Amino acid sequence: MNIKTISAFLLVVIGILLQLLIGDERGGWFNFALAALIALSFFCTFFEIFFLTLFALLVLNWQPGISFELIVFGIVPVGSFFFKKFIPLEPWVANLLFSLAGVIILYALFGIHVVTNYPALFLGDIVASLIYSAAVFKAMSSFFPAES
Amino acid sequence: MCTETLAFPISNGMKKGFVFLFILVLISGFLFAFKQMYGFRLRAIFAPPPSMPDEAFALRAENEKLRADIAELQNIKSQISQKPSGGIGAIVYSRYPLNFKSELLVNAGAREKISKNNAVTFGGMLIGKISEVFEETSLVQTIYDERFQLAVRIGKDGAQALLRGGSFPILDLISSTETIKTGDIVYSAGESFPYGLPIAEIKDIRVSDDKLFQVSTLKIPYDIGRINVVFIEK
Repeated sequence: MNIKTISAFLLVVIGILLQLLIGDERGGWFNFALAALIALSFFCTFFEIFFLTLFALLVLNWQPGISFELIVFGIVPVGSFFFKKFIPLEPWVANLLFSLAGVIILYALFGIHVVTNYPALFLGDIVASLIYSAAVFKAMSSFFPAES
Repeated sequence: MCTETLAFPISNGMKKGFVFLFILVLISGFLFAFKQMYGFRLRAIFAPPPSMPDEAFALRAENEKLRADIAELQNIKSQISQKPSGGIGAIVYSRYPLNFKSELLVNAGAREKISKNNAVTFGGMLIGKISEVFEETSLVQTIYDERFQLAVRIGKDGAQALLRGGSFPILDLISSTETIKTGDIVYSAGESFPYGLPIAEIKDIRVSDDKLFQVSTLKIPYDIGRINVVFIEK
């Protein structure tokens, strides 16, 4: 395990912490963990991103058994890892695009009622997730090269 | 003799790194698939449960309970058969971590004879119902869940309404002839629930979009994010 993996792990832990603490305090849950995983898919190997995703799922899982929401949540960063090569954009732009797409996919599949009834919450989630994804990408790109 | 070399030679250190990561992936996958309890404990380490509500909340909850009792007694209580009281306390293990539902996982399940649709209370106030039962745990669907609906009554006159769950629960289908006012207590009147459990107070009242009913928002005296222990009515 090297510094890059440890840094990635800590960024995922911070994302999970932010998601849980803000959710418990404010009642609004933002996809910081997903945003971190998508950003890290541009820096980590397949096994690294797979492990980080499983770790995030383990901590975020709220019930016995595996739910469809978490399966989709887990597929998104792994999908980002494989599909980033097909996006002919700068890695930081592709990161924002994938982060936006990831959040929209979750809401389209499981939370369309939130989009229609509480659009401010939906938009807030998108903005917060994009900000954290950009911050993670910036932090990692300061020390490690991004792969596209 | 032709000596082939790898374009990207893999050092022993990298091999060990891959093996280590592979083992981590296997362990994480096993824990995620079969031992979710370790995930709940990790979650408790990363994000300890917030502090319990203070004495002021306890007094408010008791006040709401007493007002609901008074409203219930002034209504047609004698015509309603009383369900036997009794239940158990349960600790909240985790919360649904996204915006699509509002669920809590508690540490009481089929082993403790918990059933689906049992009422769940906090400080004597109804906060939700059991939506799914596992062997040792149960899922509680709270009133903040979009899918939650419950027949309720309002105040001492017992005006009927439908509680619709969501990020901001509302009372719908209140007859336009009923007189309700801000501060009136809202209590449960659903079939499978104990009658008269306080839920909230009326906050604002307005006419529905179709002009046929009244709709009201609710003032709820507790913070669902701070609840660590609940009581399950059996």
